[in-house]
Order: sequence, then structure tokens, then C-alpha cells
Amino acid sequence: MKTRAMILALVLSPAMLAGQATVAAQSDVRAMLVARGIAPALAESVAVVARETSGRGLSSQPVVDKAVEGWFKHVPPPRILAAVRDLAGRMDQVRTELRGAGLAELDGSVIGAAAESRAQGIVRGDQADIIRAAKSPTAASAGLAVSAALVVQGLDARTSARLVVESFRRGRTASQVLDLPSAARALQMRGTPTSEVGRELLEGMGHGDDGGDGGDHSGRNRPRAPLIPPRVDND
Amino acid sequence: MGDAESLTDGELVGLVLKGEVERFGELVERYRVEFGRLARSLVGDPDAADDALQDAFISAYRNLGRCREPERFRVWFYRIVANRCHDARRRRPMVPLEDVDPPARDRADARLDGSELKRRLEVAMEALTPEQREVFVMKEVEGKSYQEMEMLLGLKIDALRMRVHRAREVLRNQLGDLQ
Amino acid sequence: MSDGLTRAANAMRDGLKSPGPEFTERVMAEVRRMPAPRRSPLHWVTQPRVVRVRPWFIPLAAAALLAMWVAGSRYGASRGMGQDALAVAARDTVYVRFEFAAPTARAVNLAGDFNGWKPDATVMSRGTGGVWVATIPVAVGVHKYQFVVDGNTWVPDPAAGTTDDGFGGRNSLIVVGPRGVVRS
Repeated sequence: MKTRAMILALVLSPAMLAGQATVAAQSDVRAMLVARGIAPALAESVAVVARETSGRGLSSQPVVDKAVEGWFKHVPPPRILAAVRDLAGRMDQVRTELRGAGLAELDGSVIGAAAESRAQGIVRGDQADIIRAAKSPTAASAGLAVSAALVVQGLDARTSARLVVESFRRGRTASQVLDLPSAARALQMRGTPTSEVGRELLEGMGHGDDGGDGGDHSGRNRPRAPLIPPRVDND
Repeated sequence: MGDAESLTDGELVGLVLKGEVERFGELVERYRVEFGRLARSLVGDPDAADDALQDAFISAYRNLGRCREPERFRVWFYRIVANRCHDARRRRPMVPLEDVDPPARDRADARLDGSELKRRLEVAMEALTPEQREVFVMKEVEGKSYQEMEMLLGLKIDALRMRVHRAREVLRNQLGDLQ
Repeated sequence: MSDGLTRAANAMRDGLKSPGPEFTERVMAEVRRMPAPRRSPLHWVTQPRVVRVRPWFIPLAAAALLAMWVAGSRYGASRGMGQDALAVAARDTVYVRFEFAAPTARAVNLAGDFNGWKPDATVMSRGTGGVWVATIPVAVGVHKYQFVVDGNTWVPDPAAGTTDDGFGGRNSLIVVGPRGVVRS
């Protein structure tokens, strides 16, 4: 046991020396967490995860925010730590996936939104399409977040993603894409089955000048061709 | 002791139900060690684990008449123990903050000895679902075979393999710098 | 399995002790105080068997579920679906009205990612019929929130969809567009 510990210590020390440069950044995170009311011991541990996360080129803000959320919800510190580590891992994983789809150098907020939408079932291929169709990282983040929100509202993941992609491709801005959930909800409240909402919104989508609210385009008289082609994904 | 060892679980259960209540003690002795270790690895805190196991035995005694297949007492009892353990784990009071994992760089001696490894794993196991925790403990801590796990959990081996794989992934992610 | 994880699992196994023989005596001491268990007289009824669902059973079950849902939604149901923003507070920020029906609550607060999850940052006001209300500026985008009842009970918005918060709970989702808002 002792020998193993000694070997580990030797292996770890160069890594610890290299870490000195980022100590300052880490103590900033720690100080910020303490300022927001987190106990110092937990703030220390979360700051380590935040440092590791930004060391891997990811945004550490979601990690910090998640820790604060757990703290105010009185979640036990080990559970908070587990949740932030899990979040960091999921962001790393989704970034690797998107890199594999040809999207490197993605903005931190986009990765965060991608991790969230992945958790709601939006697959890599659809996420890549959303990111490419959006004109900016801000729009991409909003688009990914809206796709996740539509899934929460009951639409299936594929339909939700296609709605966002088509919106962008038809010239809609991020603000207009943020209206998609209200348009979907309006249809649902009028009695349109959730499985039909996506189709109706897509059919009702003009080219940027009808406000995107689905309006009076019931689409019931149109031929019922499958609007969303089946997709084979390698996820 | 010869007498007890020749009786199967089903026979012992039958005798208890006929009125020989002391025979239940033989069942407790038979499973004290195996389920004691399981409870402690699932719950973490040894006292809470022992309490959960005691509650499980008492519950099994009270409901012994409802054990449909007395010959499979161990499987039936396993479920009772696992459920009690998951409940006990959820009810644990907040861990004192001093016990929260301090960063490695502050500990110049970096003693990653057995107790430290064990503690980190216990914290990491928070990230597992109760189902993942069960299979991980059975496979990687207790070293049970997949056949045995199939019998205890009522799941196909393929499903068990996937669950163990997922549990390892989550733990690897949690343990990060230990790799 | 990776080396670190294997070592940790081995350490856990090595460190595991089971309760000693006195444990058995503790259990038996309690057992002796209990009535002796009897085989359930109807135990043959509980033997596993195939249950065939007759056609008339399904509508009845569905009706029962519907009745429960309607009754449940009357309590705690939040109105204000599709409530438009009162005004645009600033560019990219919109006033959003949150409502939560809780007639028996003594205090209700609103906590979300727009106020750092601090339960005391946004105190809601009790209106008629026991509906608590708060109107606050929220940045355009997608946000998560919960209501905090009586200082310590965190509940999601019954009128909104929810998403896993990573701690075993559920957060409500709200999508704020520049023209208005709807809860997901």
C-alpha cells in the first residue's frame, strides 16, 4: 500500500506543479461560490471540478450554476458534487460527439445547451443540423434549448429538432425560434393532438413574415404525406 | 449444527410457519454475513446498514406467510433487503461538510491508501441509481457471477452486463483523476 | 475495468465487515416478541397467474384515472397560460408573471436560474382565491425554476413541463421570447 501511494505521489507531483498556474483561477471560482453562500469545503471541491472543466476547454459556468442550485435546494454536498461531475462529463461527451460530426471549436454556451438537449433525447445528427442552420452561437444555443423545451412539452425529439432546423433555414431569427414553444402550446390548447403539432407548425411555416405562430393554417386539407423523413443515425 | 445445515431454506421457512419460530434464527445466521456486507456497501454507514438489515429480517419474519416460493427465500429476501437499503440511504442525514472530498493538491502526502480510495468510491456511488449500485456492488465488490446475479435480480445476463457497464462508466467519470 | 476503479472496489471489499453473531440475537429477541407468522390462508389466491384484461375494464380504468387527474389539477393548478408580458423591461428582458395556486400556504417564493436559485430573492404576493403572484423581469431565453412553499418545500409549477434537475427533483421550464412567454 505504501509503495503504491509513493508511486502515485511521484506521478501526481508534476501534474500538481503544472496546476499552479491555474490555482489563481480556481481560487476565484472558490471565492465566488463562497460569496454566493456555499460552504467553503464544498466550494473548494466544486472549484476543482470547475478548474478541470475549463482545463478541458469547456465552460465552467454550468458547473458553478448547478452547484449553487443544489446548495439552495439543500441537496447533500456529496450529491451536489456527483451532479456537477456528471454535468461536466456530459458536456465533455457531447462535445466529443459533435466534434465527430465535424463541429469543432464550439462556444461554451452551445456545448451547455447541447448537453441539455441531449438529455432530452435530441440526437447528435439533429443537434449538428441545428448548430449549422443557426447563424450564430447565440442562435444555436437558443435553438438547442428550444428543441429541448419542445420535448418537455410532449413533442418527440426528432420533430422538435426538425422544427428548429426548418425555422432557421427559412430565415427565422433566434427570437422567433423562441416563439416555437408558445406556438406549439397554442395548438395543443386548441385540441390539436401533440403528435400533429409538429406537422402543423411545419406546414404553416412561411418564409419569415407570418410571425411563426402557426396561425390559421390547419393543414387538415393537405395531403397527409410524411413530412419528416425517417433518419438513420449512428448514435 | 448438523441439523440446521441439512435443512434447506424452504424447509426452515415451513418449520417457522408451523410454529417453530426459533428456526428463523437459523435463517438469520445463514444470511447474516452475505447480506450484512451487501447492506453495508449499499448504505455506506455501518450502523444504518445494520439497522436496515435488522428491519429487513423482521419484515421477512412478519410476512413469511406471503413468501410464495419458500425454496427461493434468498431471492425473495434479497429484494426486501435491497429496498430497505435504498430507503436508508435516502434518509441519511447530511454528511458533515468536513467529510466532503478535499482537493488532491492540498494534501501533500497524497495518501491514496485503501481507506481514502474506499471513501472516494462511496462518494462517487452517489451518482449511481439504486439499480446500478446493486449490480456494481454485486459484481465488482462481492465478485458474484452473472448467473448468480441473474437469479437474485431476475434480469437477463445481457441486461445485467449493460447495467454494470453503465455503472462503471458513471463511476469512472466521477473518479476522474484516479485513473 | 480501469485500474483506479478496480483498486477502489477492492478497497471497499477489503474494508467491508458484516455484523457479528450478536446481530442474530438482536433480531431473535425482537422476533420472540412478535406474533408467529402463519401461512396466509388465501395464499393460493396470490399465486402468480395470468390476468386477462376484459374490454370493459379498460374504459373504467381510464375514466378513474381521468377523474383523478382533473381533481388534482384543480388544486395547485396555475393559471396564466399564455399570459403575455406586461411590458418589455429592457432590450432582451421581459416582465413575466408567475402564478401559483396554494390557498393553504403561508408563504410562497419563486426560485430559478434567473435569481440564482435564492428562495428569498423573489417573494410572491397572495391574491384572491389563494393564488400567489409575482411579476419579475426575466432575460429572453429558456429558464428553469421552482416554487418554494413555506420556506422549505420546493415544488415545480403544475402548469409547466418539467425536466430532471440532476438531484432527483424536477425543475419547471419557461421559454421567454421577446414578445411574450409560455411555460413549457
